[in-house]
Amino acid sequence: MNLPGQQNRLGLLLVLATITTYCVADGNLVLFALSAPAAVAAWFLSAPPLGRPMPRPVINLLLLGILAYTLHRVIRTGFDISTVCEIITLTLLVKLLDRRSQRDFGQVVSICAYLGIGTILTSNSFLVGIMLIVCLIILVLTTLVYQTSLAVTTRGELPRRPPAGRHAVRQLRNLAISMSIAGMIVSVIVFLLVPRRLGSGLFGTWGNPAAGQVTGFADEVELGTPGFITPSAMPVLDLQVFGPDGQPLGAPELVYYLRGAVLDVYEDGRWIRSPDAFERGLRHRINSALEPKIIGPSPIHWTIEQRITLRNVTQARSHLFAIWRPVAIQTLQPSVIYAATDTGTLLREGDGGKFEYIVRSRDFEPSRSFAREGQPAAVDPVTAENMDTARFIALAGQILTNAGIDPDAARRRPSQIERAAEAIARSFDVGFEYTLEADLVPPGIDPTEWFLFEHKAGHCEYYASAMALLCRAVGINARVITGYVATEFNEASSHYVVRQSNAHAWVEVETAPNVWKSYDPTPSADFMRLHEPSQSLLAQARRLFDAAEFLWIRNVVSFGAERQESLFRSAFNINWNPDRAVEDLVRRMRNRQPRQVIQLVAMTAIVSAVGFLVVFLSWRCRQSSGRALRSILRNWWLRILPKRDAQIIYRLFCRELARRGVPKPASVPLLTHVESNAHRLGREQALVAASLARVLYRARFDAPDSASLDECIRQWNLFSRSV
Amino acid sequence: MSTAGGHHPTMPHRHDRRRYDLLASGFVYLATALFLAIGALNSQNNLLFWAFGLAVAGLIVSGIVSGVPLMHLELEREPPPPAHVGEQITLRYRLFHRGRLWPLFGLRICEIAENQDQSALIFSPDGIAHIGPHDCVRATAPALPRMRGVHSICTVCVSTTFPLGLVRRSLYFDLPARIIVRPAVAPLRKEIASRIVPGREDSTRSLARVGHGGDFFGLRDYAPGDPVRTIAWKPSARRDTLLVRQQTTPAPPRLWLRLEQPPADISEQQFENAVALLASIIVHASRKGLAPGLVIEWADVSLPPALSPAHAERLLDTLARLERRDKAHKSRARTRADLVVSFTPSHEPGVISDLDPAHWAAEHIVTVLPMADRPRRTRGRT
Repeated sequence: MNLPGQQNRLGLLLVLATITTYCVADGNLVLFALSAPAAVAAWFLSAPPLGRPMPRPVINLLLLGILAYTLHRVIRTGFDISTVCEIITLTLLVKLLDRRSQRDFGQVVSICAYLGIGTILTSNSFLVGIMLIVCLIILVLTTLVYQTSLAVTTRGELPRRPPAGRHAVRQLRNLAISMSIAGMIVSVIVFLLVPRRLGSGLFGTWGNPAAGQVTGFADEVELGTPGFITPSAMPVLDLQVFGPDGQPLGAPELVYYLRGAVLDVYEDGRWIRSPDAFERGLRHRINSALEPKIIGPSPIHWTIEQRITLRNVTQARSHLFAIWRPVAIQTLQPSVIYAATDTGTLLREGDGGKFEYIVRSRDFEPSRSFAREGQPAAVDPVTAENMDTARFIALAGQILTNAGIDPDAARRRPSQIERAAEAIARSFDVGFEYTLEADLVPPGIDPTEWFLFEHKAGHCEYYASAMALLCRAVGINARVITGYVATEFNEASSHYVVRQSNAHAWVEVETAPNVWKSYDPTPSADFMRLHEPSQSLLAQARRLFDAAEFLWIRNVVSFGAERQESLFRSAFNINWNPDRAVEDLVRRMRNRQPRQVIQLVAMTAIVSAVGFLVVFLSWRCRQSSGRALRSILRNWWLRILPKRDAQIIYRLFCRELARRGVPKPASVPLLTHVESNAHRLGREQALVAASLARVLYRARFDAPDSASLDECIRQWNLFSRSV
Repeated sequence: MSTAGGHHPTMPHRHDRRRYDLLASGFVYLATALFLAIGALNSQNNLLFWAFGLAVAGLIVSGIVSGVPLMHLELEREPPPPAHVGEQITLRYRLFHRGRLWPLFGLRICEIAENQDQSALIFSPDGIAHIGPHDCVRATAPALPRMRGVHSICTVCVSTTFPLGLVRRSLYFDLPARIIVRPAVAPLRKEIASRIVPGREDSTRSLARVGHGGDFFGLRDYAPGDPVRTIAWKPSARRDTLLVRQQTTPAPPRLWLRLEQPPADISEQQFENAVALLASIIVHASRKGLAPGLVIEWADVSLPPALSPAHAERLLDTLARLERRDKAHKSRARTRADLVVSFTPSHEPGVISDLDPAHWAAEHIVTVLPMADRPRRTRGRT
């Protein structure tokens, strides 16, 4: 068993695995590029027999450097988990240079374990989870090898090949694997049993995974800049769509527009939200999601339910996404929800990280009589400092005239608004080019005007902005919507994966008072080219990974009290809600009189003391009580045996003799053996054993009746009790 | 060597008691688990719940993996060999793992001396990397005797911190035994060794058994291969058959040694040095072909000279048991000794007397039994 070799290999593997996992979790490529080669170099520089540990003064200087760096980071960026993990990584590197004995190796393993905990606090993604499981297996194996080698270490040195039994390596490997599997099973049981919601937020935000805004989403669109349109394939959210009957509605050919920000004010090339948008809306604080909160007009008739999981959001106020028009929302985490009923905008505030919610929407407008509802109020064309509004009015009028629609809002029938909007949207299909390259807008000209009349190339924000301005130029109320399009349906998990590249902007047009209809002016060919899921082998593999990640998020990361309760109810038909039980207990305690409270506390103390006493005495007398129990069971078994035979007691007697260190050879009669080994058994035991042997002889050869057998049992009990 | 107690020393023996000690790393582990639990409850971060579950799993699995198979361990200690002061001996063990499923890893085995023998014997632990199920492994543990005498060893402790190093689980096997620690033996200096010569009457003695000595032992029938010059011609002629003359075995030269009674004013250290000197002389004489005999009248010891390894060991064992306060129970005829180890300074021929063993033996004795009350002498100084 080459313990030093195995220990070295596993140790290096563990160090690299934990550093890599942390860097993947934090997305810190710089740290990985610096620390991974440094770890390898430090390992070989300090590994015997060629390497030597660094001198103590150098190690102390390096530790001082880490301390200075820590102070600098804490002063500059504050104390966060990223800082802690970086310090742990640096300490690990220094410790690698300071390996002098087996104890130092153990400290390296411990530091790796703490870096793993830091990784858990950094990210909860599926990839990191898989890497953590791999790290855990390596950690278990390394710890086992270390503990094995610790026993054979003399004066801090490990012998090359310490004495070991047969198949040591194989059995160690099997033990590590079985320990890992058993540990996983136990940890899953603990994971399922530990009550959720109990003690949430007692110590502030400690323990929350580090959150970052991966949606790249903002409340405004600034033309002339790259904006939030990016080709990045990083997943932003997962979407499941269901009908009112609970049937999934998703399909590869179906596309859903998830609205985020509603931008209705245009200023100097920027579309922004009107300042009083949320004063008009409702504000809900949702601490738990027992029932959906109604946020839309009543009566509620919803047609589509969206279960959305945002992968990673900030703690600050951020947008939620939903299909138009959201009428009810349900969140599974404590948070504050802001909902604007007229625009359908949803905002949230709460803890960062993963956020899961359910929105019910009505994806159609009820049929209305325009005679009864009237037509929407005409709006004025948008004016801006560098904008030639007349050009917009002329172009929009020409488009409507070509479509056979009167450009004059006063003379246009309300039923023609939808046709007019459609005509404007389709006017971009010819003569315009879709590109993500952000060309520089010439100074002194409005970006939308530059796109519409000169450049004629841009991304979806330009198209949406141009269509909204053209609609407003002919009196049609329109607004720009930014959000995501869900096009990539994963059939393995029946859900949509929405990536950063699926960010999109489109237009909503008011076709009737407070009735808005969506139009996408982006040329459909370009839209399909951009958002159609790839069919390459890599993309299919990525889809499989996405399905697994979705299951990870849904079943592990998002596992909450409700799911825990439903799981226990469906599996064991019990109500598992200890958090509510504690709340009830606290409430009852508050309502009771002090005398009753004292009685309750005293009763609890007495029951606890008695329980403790019982457990303690059982533990102290576990051997004798176990022996007594075994004896009772054995007697019972001997008496109920259909074939009551002294041979059974004879075998038990031989086994007990072997257990006491005097195994009976096959060639020696029982009584002879007992008498010849009397000095080993002791005086009392030898007497009882000889008596039992004689009784056994009598029961077997002289009088094989029930009385003899009872005497055998009695003598056997005497012998088994004798020590 | 003798044994005591109810257990047979050559049979595998189950443990008599066990003990669990939470190590410092175990405290750290528990604190970390608590830290994870608080973090998980506070943040409702499911990965922290999972990590807490892993910490709990580590405790449970660690207890099962090392606790259960350890209960199936049996141990057997071989009889300890006799030892000399300052010379390391090796205690040998056989460990039987009667378990069927789980192997044992990372065992540490060590002797636990009785209270009065803690300074007399220094034990070093030994490690065993692995014992498979139904497997038997031999182990050795070195021990360094520091004091002459018969010392008791009682308990063998087998412990492990495997698998996670949180708890040390120890099994104690009560296997009482005795170790005879003989006096330190060192090569003598040349001038002293030259004085160790047999008595004058030794050349005339012979043993009454067949050998190559000068005395006549008897006659026997001729066997093919016998030298012709051994044929006793006259008796052969008288008996009319060939007879061969047999000689006696020459007796080895004898060397009677005596240890004088120590005066009351000498220290224990000086007495030990004298005993060590006597032991060195016995070993030296045996190697030179002399038959050492020992007479210590004040301790009722009288072992006549003989030349055999067993006899030399018997003499050394007697010296191992020798105590300064021993008293003779009956008076014996005073035997004339060839060499007397005396505590009185004297320069008479045939009498070795000096209180400093460094003067007589090599530095090895001085190292083992340092003189506390006088400065250490350098090697070679007379």
